[in-house]
Amino acid sequence: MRHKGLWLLGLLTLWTAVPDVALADGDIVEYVGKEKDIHPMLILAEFLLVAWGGYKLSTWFAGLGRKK
Amino acid sequence: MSTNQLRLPIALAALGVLTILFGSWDTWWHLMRKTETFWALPHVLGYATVFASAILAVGAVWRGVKRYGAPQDVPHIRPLALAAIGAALQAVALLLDMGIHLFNEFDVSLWTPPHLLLAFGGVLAMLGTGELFYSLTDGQGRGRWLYLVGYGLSIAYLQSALTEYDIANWWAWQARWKGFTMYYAVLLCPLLAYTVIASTKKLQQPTGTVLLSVPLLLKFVLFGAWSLTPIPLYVPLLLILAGILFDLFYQTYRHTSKMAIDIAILGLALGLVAAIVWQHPFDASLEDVLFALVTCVLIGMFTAWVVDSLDGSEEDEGEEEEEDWEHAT
Repeated sequence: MRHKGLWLLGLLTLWTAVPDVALADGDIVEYVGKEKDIHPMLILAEFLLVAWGGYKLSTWFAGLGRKK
Repeated sequence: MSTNQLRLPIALAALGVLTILFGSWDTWWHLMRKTETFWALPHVLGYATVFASAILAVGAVWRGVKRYGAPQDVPHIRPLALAAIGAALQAVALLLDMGIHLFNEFDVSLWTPPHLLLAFGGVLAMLGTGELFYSLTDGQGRGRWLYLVGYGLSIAYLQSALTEYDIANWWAWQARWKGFTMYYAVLLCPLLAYTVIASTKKLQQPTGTVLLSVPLLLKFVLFGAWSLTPIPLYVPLLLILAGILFDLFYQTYRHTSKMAIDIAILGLALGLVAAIVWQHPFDASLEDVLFALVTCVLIGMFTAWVVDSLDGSEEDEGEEEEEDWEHAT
């Protein structure tokens, strides 16, 4: 499960590095009226991924060195 | 607990506030059509505070590990690590944003990946800061309030990422929010539900009103500042309505029903949706309103389950952290 989380984090990092995938236009004067825009649910998905990844990573880190 | 021992989370919270203020200044800067580069004054000041947060938080973790040998031995490591990860993500956003400016020159959107990472990293950093306040003070005395301030700042951060909502005219609305009015509730709901439910359970008292007064206060400061310029903001979104209804419902049913939290979640969703229907400049259809309400309730229920799961795993660990925090950091 931990590996899956790390994979997801890796994919997220890649995704954030590629502006064309998620670039939102429409929020400056020149773009007003353009239909194309990022869907809010994509923003929600990124937020949930970052939040989940952050909590998982901090829990994992806090347990490093623990004897099983 | 002396102020000295709280200096790290206080510094992180103060830097978080500064980042939000500088970020708002940068938005204003865009709207005034001033020269736009990565090195524009508000932009570079905003990232300077982000950089300082990352140095502070990651540095504290690094020093703790160096002193105690292993992360698990470092006092209060769990919230500290969360704050450090959030701040580090913001530092990564800084580098990515520099790249965007380098290749694109113009800062095209608030919703570019680096800007989103900056805001979401800030949410994590403030959640970690709030939990660090709680952990350092055992949730006693002023620690209770500071914990809520940290959580409230995380909501302010997320609102900053959606700042288009507040802009008065001729900017993002047409392209961004028309047709998506009620998604604003859906975007805010997970964090709102998490912070309110987790803090209510931890402090054993309803916290929605106090917690949501933090972003409201910050928004009113920004509202006042912007109102002195040619570019006004609308009245800040009265998210506090969600907190008030959550508290009312929870307080009414906490002693009589095992489902008090679930009922309070309904209040939170009602308040959130009502605030947006009331204040959003675009009309929303009844279908959209119902969609937002049902989605927010479901998200709230799921979040309550997540909070329960996190509480369970923390209790299992059952660790006592009595070490001297001042020496650790």
